[in-house]
Amino acid sequence: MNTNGVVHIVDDEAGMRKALARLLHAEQLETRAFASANEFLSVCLAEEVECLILDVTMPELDGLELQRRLTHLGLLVPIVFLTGNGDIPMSVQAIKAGAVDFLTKPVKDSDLLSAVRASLALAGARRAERAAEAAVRARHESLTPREREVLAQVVTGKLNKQIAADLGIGEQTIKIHRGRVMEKMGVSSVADLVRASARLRIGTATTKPDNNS
Amino acid sequence: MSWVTVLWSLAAGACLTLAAMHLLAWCWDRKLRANLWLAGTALSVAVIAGLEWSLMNARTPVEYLSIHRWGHAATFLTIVGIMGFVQSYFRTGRPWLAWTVMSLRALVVVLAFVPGPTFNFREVTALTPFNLFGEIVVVPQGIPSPWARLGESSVFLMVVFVVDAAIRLWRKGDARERQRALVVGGGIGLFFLACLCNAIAIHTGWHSVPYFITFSFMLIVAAIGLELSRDLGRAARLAAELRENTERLDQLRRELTHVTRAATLSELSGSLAHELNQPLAIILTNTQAAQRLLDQSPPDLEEVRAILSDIVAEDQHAAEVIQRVRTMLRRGDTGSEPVALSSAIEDVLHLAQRDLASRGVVVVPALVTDLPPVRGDRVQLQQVALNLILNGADAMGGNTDGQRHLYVATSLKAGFARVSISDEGGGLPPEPDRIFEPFYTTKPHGLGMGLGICRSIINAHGGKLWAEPHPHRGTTFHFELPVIQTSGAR
Repeated sequence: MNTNGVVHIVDDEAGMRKALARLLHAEQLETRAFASANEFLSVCLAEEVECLILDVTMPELDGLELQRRLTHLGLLVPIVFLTGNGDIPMSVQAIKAGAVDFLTKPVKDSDLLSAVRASLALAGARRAERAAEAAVRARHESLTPREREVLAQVVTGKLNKQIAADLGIGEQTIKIHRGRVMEKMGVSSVADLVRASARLRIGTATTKPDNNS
Repeated sequence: MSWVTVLWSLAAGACLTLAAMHLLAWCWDRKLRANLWLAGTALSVAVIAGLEWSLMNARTPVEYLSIHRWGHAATFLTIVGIMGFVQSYFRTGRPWLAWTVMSLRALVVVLAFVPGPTFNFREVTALTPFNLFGEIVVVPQGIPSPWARLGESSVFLMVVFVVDAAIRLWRKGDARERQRALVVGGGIGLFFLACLCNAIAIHTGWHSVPYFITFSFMLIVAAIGLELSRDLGRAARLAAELRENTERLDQLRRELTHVTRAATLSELSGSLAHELNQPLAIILTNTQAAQRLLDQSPPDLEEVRAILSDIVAEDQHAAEVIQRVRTMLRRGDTGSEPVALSSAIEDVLHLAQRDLASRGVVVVPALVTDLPPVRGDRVQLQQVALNLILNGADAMGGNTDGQRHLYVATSLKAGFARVSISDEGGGLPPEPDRIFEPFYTTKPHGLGMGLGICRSIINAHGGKLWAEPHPHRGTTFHFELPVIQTSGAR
């Protein structure tokens, strides 16, 4: 099947899981269904979840609790809540904790599908973001320690002369380092360099060791 | 026919009618002793009326005297009757006074029948004509006897007895009893004094007139009769009111049963709404999926067919939920049909399952499938079971250790089908039977009617409902009902 994405479903009602899967299949979306939050937890660490349609009221572990656990695990899963008896405090809690949408059953297919697409898009954007960050990080890794020092100073807006004075080396040498940094980081302007550094959060913390995480 | 005959027979007739009426009242309710006394009194007054008439029409002094003797006997009966009435109606007379009067009066009767000189007159010498209402009757002429004072004083003592009893009733009684004392006591006293004067006048020869005792007595009997029939009327009115109130009470009890059932069900309304919402949501999503599938080319008809059959199943599920609720909310007369308790309770568990699950209650059923049926109203029995089940779940609401088992069992115990519902909650209060009292509740929003209604339903089914501590922790509620005895071996 030529899929547009994979949607995970957690709902204790078999009929609902089946119906949701049918609707999503009709839209060329792949589905993985789970009858309980615990079942889902046992697999979600192994694969990337692009969209989770999550029931709120379930025996044992309920939807909001699952959301809390995922956050605790550091997993950014785009969640579309789907509940039969939601109330405002519940929806506020869910949205504040980062849910994409909070829908009530019975749900209009267009609402559900647009929420699912928003989730998939969010997952895509996050993936692209992560890829871009990885690329920048790789480039940053290729810098020498001295070049990193120079970079950290440049992005704070200091002039070559000031950097030279701070680091105790000649202004000419700074210029050479700076040129190498621009080249290695693959940027053509200081503005681009600042943006790339922001992604790595360089310059905000002064001397943060790069722990390659 | 002469006026005298008409008047005296009218009086006798009136007394006989009164006697019959009050005798009937006594036959109807044997507790109405006063009416029996009155009937006896009225009867003897009727006899006196007859004797008086005979006296006025006596032809010879000898005939006059022999009739006169019987007059003493009838008067004795009348006096005993009136004192009996006063005592049973007022209950305040002095017995010794009554016994004195009766002894004196009995002595008078005995002396009257002893051969020799007559009692009131030493001798009746002649009968002289007397014009009464333009008619000639006879009055006696004779030598007064000092013994006459004996009879007269007994009558006087009787008046004292009645007036004394009336005064004592007046002193201690309420408004109605005071009215009684005044009408009956005053009436008797006044009319007896009147006939006493009449008798003294005749006996002393002071004024020659016929005896008019009949009319005084008749007025006494009428006054008493009036008072008693007022009582009878009041009793009849009270009985009617009581009947009306009983009907109203039954009606209220039915309504209360229904209202508490509705209230119990309303506790489930959230979970029931969810239970109905669920199939609706599944149906909608399935339908929308089918619409999208049909838009594709070629459409996946196999899948659409599967969707349609799922929709049918979900629809039936929703209909069952609605049916169960509607049955429980049915209003109407108490039914009496064979009820299979286990299956009735299974239905209740279905109804409550979502609510119980959402509260983390784990139901452990042990329902005997071949339990013989009981006779009764299925819905009311389900109401009792639902109430006990929800109570059990409520009792475990505060359990922090997560132990929330609800044991629901049916069993057969010596001709009784027993339902036992046990929780692992906080147990019974120090006075366990108070939980069945109206308005007793431990829940913040409880009405306190549930268990009281449960017990009255079970009692009305000829069974019993009780609570006891569950081993280790919590409470067990049992109710048992007699099973229908099937003829022949099962």
